[in-house]
Amino acid sequence: MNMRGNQRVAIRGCGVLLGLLLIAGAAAAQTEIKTQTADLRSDSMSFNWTTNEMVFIGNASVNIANGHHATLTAPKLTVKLSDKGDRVIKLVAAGPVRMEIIGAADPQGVKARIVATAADRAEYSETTQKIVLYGDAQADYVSLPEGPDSRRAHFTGDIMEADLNTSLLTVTKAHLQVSSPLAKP
Amino acid sequence: MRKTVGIAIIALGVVLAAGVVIYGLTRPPTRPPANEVAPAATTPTDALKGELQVEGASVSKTDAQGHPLWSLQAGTKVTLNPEQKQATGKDVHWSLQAAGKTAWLVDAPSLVIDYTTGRLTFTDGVHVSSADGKQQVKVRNLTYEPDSKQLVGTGGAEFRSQQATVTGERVVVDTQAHKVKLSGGVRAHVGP
Repeated sequence: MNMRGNQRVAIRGCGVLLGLLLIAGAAAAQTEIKTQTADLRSDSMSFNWTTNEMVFIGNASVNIANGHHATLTAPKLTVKLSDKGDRVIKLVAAGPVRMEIIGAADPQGVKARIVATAADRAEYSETTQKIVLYGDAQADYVSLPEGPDSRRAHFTGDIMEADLNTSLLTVTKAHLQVSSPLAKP
Repeated sequence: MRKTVGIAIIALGVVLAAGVVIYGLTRPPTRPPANEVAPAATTPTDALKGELQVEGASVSKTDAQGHPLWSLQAGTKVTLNPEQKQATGKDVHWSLQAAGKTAWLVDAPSLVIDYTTGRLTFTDGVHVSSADGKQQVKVRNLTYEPDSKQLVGTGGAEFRSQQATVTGERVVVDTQAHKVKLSGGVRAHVGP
């Protein structure tokens, strides 16, 4: 299959597909996510100081900085803080959710961007170091700088789980489409 | 001769003493200005009788059972205006009580107490702190709503809970629900 000079491969799966494709450069950076800081925006925010929980409502977005750039937007974000209020322990984004990650450069100096969406919700847990997208999850991977020669992949599935420690992306009821530049003779 | 002079001196002393007593009894008492509570004043005006106690530059409010609701210390004086049913204070330090303990502290350059509604309005840059210091609010103006026991602030609100900081245009501290709500272009930062 040839498309605009690129090679494209489509894989369909009815069960569970374990995709090993995730921003490689993000792996090392994201293992230090416990030291992260987070910046959030919304129309309103409610904080319960008994439960240490923040609820952001209306055009909510969170930007997590930790050697990479990760932004998650949703109509509603619920954030559970640590006792000292210095870390995000758990984050639940009520859908539709959009997540964008620009990882740190891999050993070859290549950065990549993943844009993922989910119709239902997304959850992040500091304990498991996983981001899970629920409901018609989709993700687009592209190497940067974006151009005709970029490596690309498109995932769809019911549930998409990104393990920030292992860089393993697990997609349930998956459909994977990969396109990469043709090798020059 | 000596006896006569002695009697005359005694008589003169008695007359002078009597004059001092008579002057003291007939002199009208001096009063402080009608609309100010002098630091030593202890008598509330008619409008503040009942559950409000004014003592010096301090004002406190209790519920019907005598439990303290809040207390106020003014840096200079509390001025009463019976016609407008208001009291004003400068450089105030206000504390809100809950379950017999101080729950919240408010410091502000200016305060207006409305006797009729019981509402307190702090202005000109207000600092709010929970008693344990974990929650802090800075806002331009703040109103205490006695019915809901909420602190409602407007204008450049900044809320801090330990290492989390949130800014917005309006802030509501619900002292009973243990919640703080900010609205209007909310931005938050978690972490150092």
